[in-house]
Amino acid sequence: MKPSDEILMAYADGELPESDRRQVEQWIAANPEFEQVVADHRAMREAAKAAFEPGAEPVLSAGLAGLVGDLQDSVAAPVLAPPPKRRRRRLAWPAAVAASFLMGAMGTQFASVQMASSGTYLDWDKQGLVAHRQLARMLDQQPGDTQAEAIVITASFIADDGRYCRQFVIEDETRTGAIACRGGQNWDMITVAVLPAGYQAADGGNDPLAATAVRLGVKEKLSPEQEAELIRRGWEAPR
Amino acid sequence: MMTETDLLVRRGLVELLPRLRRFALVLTGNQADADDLTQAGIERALERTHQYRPAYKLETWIYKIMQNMWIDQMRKAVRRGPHVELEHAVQAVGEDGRKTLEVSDMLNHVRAAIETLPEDQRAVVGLVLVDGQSYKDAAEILGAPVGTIMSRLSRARQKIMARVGATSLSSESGL
Repeated sequence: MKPSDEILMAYADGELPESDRRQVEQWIAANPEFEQVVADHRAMREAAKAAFEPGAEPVLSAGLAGLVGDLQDSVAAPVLAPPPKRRRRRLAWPAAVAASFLMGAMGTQFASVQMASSGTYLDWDKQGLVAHRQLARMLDQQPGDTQAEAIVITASFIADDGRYCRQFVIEDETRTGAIACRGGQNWDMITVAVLPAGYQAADGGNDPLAATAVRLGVKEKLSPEQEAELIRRGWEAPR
Repeated sequence: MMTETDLLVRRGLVELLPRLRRFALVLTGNQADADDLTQAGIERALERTHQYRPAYKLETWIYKIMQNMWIDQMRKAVRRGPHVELEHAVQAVGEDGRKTLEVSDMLNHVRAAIETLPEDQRAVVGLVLVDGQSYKDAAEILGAPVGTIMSRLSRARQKIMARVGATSLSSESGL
């Protein structure tokens, strides 16, 4: 009797029960050509797997990155147990991802437009865009979830590289969202984004800043107590 | 208020992300569409978390959601273009895609061959060969008997071998 291709395939895939497996082994022993069929199936399986194995994990699309960032945030939060008075993100998952304009991708021309409305807060130094004195002072001293002048701090976290980062919204005409990370004595602006219409500071699914947070990696979200301690210490890097 | 199931599903989805994207890539044939499908699948899973039963494997549940969404998309695409059967439409898309694909080595040939398979066979290949699911789990995800899964998989493998050549598969790849 000749085994079907399906039986040999299932044997190659390790899907046959013991008794059937022994039967196939007897067939193979009697007819070595079946062994080649099994080897071809195994080679095919390896090749198919390898064909879709990314050399490096491809960059997430903006929409998926935002969604995943929010998911990661939502599963990390209960572990860190923020106090209940803190606003939780509203878990809405709009399918359409609003367009966001990340300054890093748009270059200096966009930066100068941005500066016109947020000029009070942002400044260039040799390294790039940094928080202007007034904003820097607010980032140094303002607790999370509070508004002072136009600045609302929406989150603080430790990035994967160990830097302290704060996400905030400038509540002016254009409504600008940003993430700044502490580098030396400055707050380096990592991302500045014009927020889409209808954006809420605590809205997860539509958050154009989430992609940057994912890229930076959120090692730990800071509790109000941790924030308070860092404000007291002047955001000195951990030793 | 987040329930334990919510948390379980969310954590699971984050962990499964690379596999979900790979499965979507097998189905769609390009990373942009794959990410759209992955995003839509995750969004739907989050909307329906209350329907998820922890006794059920999370990956089976989410793969099933993504597979159904993809089939719906394909059906809509076919409805927009008259006189084209689903399988032919998918093959036509695959053929066009293949022509533009730089097939420079054996693995590219294999990938191109997989991308030209009819939809039902591509899904089985994605689940069993690429993702390593058992026949039983693939049957569960695709809502078909194990026997059907086996015959689809066998036909798919024969087509890929016919395109790529069994000899090059085992010799050139060193596999």
